[in-house]
Amino acid sequence: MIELKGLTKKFDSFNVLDNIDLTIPKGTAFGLLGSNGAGKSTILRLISGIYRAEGGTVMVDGENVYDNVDVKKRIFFINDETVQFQSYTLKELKNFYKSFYPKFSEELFEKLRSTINLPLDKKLNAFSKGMKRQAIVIIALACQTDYLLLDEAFDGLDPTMRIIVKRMLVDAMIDRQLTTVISSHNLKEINEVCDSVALLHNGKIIFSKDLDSVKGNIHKIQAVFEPISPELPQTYTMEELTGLGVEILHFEKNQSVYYIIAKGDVDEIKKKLAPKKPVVLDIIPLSLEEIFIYEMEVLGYDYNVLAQN
Amino acid sequence: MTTMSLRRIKASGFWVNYKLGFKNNKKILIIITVLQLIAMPLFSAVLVTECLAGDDYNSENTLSYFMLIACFGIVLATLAGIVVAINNFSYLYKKTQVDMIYSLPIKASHRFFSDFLSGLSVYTLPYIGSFLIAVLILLGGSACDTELYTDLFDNRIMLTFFQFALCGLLIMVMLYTLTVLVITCCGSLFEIIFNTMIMNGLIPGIIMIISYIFFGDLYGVSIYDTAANIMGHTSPLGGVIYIIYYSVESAVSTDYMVIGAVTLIKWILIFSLVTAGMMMLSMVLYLRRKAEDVSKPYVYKFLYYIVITSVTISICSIARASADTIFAVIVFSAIVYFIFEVIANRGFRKFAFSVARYVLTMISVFVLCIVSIATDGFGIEHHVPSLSSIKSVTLSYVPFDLAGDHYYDSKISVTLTDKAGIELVRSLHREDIERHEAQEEEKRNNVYDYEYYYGEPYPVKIKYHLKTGSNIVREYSFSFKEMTSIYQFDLRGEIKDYLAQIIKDDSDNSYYDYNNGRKKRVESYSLNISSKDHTLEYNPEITKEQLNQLISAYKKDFEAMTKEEYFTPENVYCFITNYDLPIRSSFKNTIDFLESNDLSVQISHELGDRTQSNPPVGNTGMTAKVLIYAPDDCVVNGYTSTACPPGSLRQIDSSGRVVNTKYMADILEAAQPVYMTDKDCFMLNFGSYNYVIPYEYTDLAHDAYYASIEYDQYNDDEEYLDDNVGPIANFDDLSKHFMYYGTFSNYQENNEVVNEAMEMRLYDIFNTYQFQNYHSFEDYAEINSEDFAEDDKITGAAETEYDIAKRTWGEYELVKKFFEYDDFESYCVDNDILEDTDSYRSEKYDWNRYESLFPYINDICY
Repeated sequence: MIELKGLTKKFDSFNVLDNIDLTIPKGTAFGLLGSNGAGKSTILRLISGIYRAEGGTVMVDGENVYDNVDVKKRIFFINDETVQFQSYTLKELKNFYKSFYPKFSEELFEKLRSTINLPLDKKLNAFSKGMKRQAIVIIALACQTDYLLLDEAFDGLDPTMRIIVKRMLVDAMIDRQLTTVISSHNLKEINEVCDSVALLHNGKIIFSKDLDSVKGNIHKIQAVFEPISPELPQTYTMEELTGLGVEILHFEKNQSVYYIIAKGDVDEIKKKLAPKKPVVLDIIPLSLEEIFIYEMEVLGYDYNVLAQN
Repeated sequence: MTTMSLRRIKASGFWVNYKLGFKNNKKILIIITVLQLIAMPLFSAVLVTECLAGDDYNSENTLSYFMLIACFGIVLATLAGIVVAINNFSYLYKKTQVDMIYSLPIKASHRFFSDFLSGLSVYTLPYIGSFLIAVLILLGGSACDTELYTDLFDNRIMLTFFQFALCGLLIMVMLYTLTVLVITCCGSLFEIIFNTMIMNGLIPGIIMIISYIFFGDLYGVSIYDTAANIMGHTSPLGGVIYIIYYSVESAVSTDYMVIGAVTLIKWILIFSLVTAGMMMLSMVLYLRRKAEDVSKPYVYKFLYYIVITSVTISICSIARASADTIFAVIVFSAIVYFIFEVIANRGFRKFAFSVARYVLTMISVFVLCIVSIATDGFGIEHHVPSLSSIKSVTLSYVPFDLAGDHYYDSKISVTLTDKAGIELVRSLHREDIERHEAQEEEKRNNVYDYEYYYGEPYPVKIKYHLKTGSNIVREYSFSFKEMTSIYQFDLRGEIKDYLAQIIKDDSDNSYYDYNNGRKKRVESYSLNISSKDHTLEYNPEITKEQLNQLISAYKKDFEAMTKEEYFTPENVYCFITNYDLPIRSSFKNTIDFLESNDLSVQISHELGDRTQSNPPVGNTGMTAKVLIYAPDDCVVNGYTSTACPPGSLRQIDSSGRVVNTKYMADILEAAQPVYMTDKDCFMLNFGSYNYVIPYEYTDLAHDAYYASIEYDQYNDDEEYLDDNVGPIANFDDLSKHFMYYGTFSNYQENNEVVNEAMEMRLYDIFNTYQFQNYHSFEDYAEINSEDFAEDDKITGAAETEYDIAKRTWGEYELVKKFFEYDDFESYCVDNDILEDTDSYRSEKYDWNRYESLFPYINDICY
């Protein structure tokens, strides 16, 4: 289990992470979502022991990570770069990591490599970005660590490779309870791979939940309310509806049709809106991307506002 | 190391990382290996081949080519250390690598050490390997060639080679460590390269500059010695200079480039400790450094401030040398400072702070300079360490027996450990400072008497070895009075051995003969001996055995000598070596040796027969007047009562009196060239040497002195005493008379011209052509051939320069032949020329020419 408690990280005087708490249970596939500069990569680097926290603790299986060899042997971090070790061949890179990670499985490495058919003796600088990414992923999986941290893991992979890599990850999760922490802007992939997510903004955790409860808690409502008279449609403002106790993230009205993004239990929302006599009240499921956008909008990360600025 | 800790290191990834680091530097390892192989091993192989080949090759040329290649290889391989360090710690400045390296399961300290050591191995192993190969080649070669064996082992070349190799290794390690230190402080490759270059030059440079700025003008403070010492132990470049300096110094004094064991061990220890310190500092900084610091400008700002402050101080040192440049220095340093600031701050951010920092730096430097000047180097100038803090004192000075012409290059050292000796040195030290301060005060008040203090020619170096392990070095020019206290240390063993070594070195003229490229020592020894009055001198060949016997006898005599015999010898038998070491009459063993080997030389017996107009002439060709001085005529550095040895300290403050012939022999016998007393003694001078007439001969000296006054013909002649124009009694006087004046017009101004044409002719002979310095016209023509210009032939001059010179030479010969004769008859009588012979007719013809050319020549004689 990964536990971040009161974690603070500063770059000079700039607070990148501000007193955050986060728990990632063992065996979960955890997605880190957030705006650019929210602190996702910083969290991964703190968990992998690259950065030292200015405040709080980063515990993995109950032990501090920073400069702890035993714990670091259980963690593999893949960052978003692909230019490192350019002068290595895949074989050399494999041997490099093999010497540091005692559980490295040659057998597994060979199995994964043959799946994606990467050449062993070719230098990595001759590989495409996607191939380099594949190379480091199969090495990471062959290291058989308990934790795998991926920063923009699927960046550069073609759709087929994405599926293959995702399948490899899922297999590892199923086979040996691999805990995966993925930071990505590709919410579709997070949606497909992860079972829990955390949303970060400006160095703070907005929420950290399992994906189902995130999805079950935000709803897109399409509603039409009973008109005052046949000629005069009912006009409610966001405040009036919020006054009913509905937590609204987004509010839009097109003639007599209301589009509302609201948080909370579906039945509860329906009950609260009932006094306004909705004629039509449809609940439409939201994608993770929509959830991300509407959640961020509440925090002022509204693309309309940013675009105007 | 226990099995447990070994296992822990293994488990920590140390060895894994070490091996990987080594592997990653494979290419550079190959390059360094090649460079090292073309250095020592290749050179050794060529050397051995050349020796074995004998005269088939032009060894010297071949060797010098390979020596050049070896130097080239070793310099490049040494500089490669910077590349290795930069390569091994690349993740400290490459953002793309830092994540991967820092996320690896290895402790930061182990990562540092493994990276440090792997790089160091890549850097130094080829060096060690190539050294061993070179040694094997040389050993193999010396087994086949006895002369090579002699050179390598008897002439200590092998030892020198070992020393240089060891020192080279340590210097390489420091260069590598310093680079690692710089890397840990920097965030980008540019910064690393720039600062590595600058730090290598800056460390030794700034030590010297700070020494110069703050302590450069202090009286007696030998800060350069200390600074050079610090410099030699704190930087690779300083180390190189230090080792070369000591090797050369050793070569000068011992013919071998072998550095003394104590100096070398001390240097190795301190240099290694400084290197270890650099490494520890690097590690501490490395561990404190954060992964996110990569690509940040100057991760540790202190390095930047050291660099920028040092550069600013270096520029300010120009103003210390010349105050007129102060504004130029301020402008120049400001430009440099702000360029640094803009680079370090990546633009003009916080520029106001930069300006403030610059102003602060400049104010600090100038304030420190002013305080340093006002407080005489923060009190260093006046500081005499307390007795309780001193372990020993090493005193370097010129001993009494060498206080003649050679005092600048014959300093010797004695180390005093006894309290009385140390206290004496301290009190002399204090006195000298006080005297200097009094003089400075007098200068400030414009009452300084330059004449009174004129001449303090005795350099003395005092080195206090403190109980803390540090040294304080001072260098003064002591007065004679101060020296009389110091000379008491002359009778210690160190001086005896040093003087014996002087005899050995001075007499050993052995040299190396390069025959077919092989070095062969040719032994040759000779002893320079001169009489007590330096008028007789010769340099006979002696054997090595004779030299050893002489040294042994000298040491025995020196050891048995009493203080009285040393300072006030009864007599001086002779001087030996070019250093004029006196052989006192008490040196029985030495005198016996010299006499039994027919090497003795006594005072010139001709001296007593000379008259004032015919000064003493020995086989050295020296001419001199013998002058006597009363005690009141003598001033010694402001102290009037101490008589002293020749050629050194006594300022004779009078023109003296020419010794009356009547007293000449006695006074010369009594005069002592090596004598030191605080009694008021008469003194003698001739041939640029001073002599003391011992106090017991005061009556004789007194009589001689006052008799000289009565000798009116010469003593009344001031010109004679001024050594300018003497009475013209012989040919030499005539020569001197014309030599004295720079130009003929000058001559005319100063002389009552009898006949202008005649005197112009004499002036030409003695001053323009200076024929008196040549044996024959052929000699003159050969040496001055360039004066006979080619253009004479071109212009077709009626008489060429050569013809004129030859004609004048003829006139010179006439003067030389006839000058001392009033008439032709006396010439004929003296030279046994009979009338009515061919010779008579020929000489008569010459005489007539002489008379017609120099009709009034007798009128210019006194």
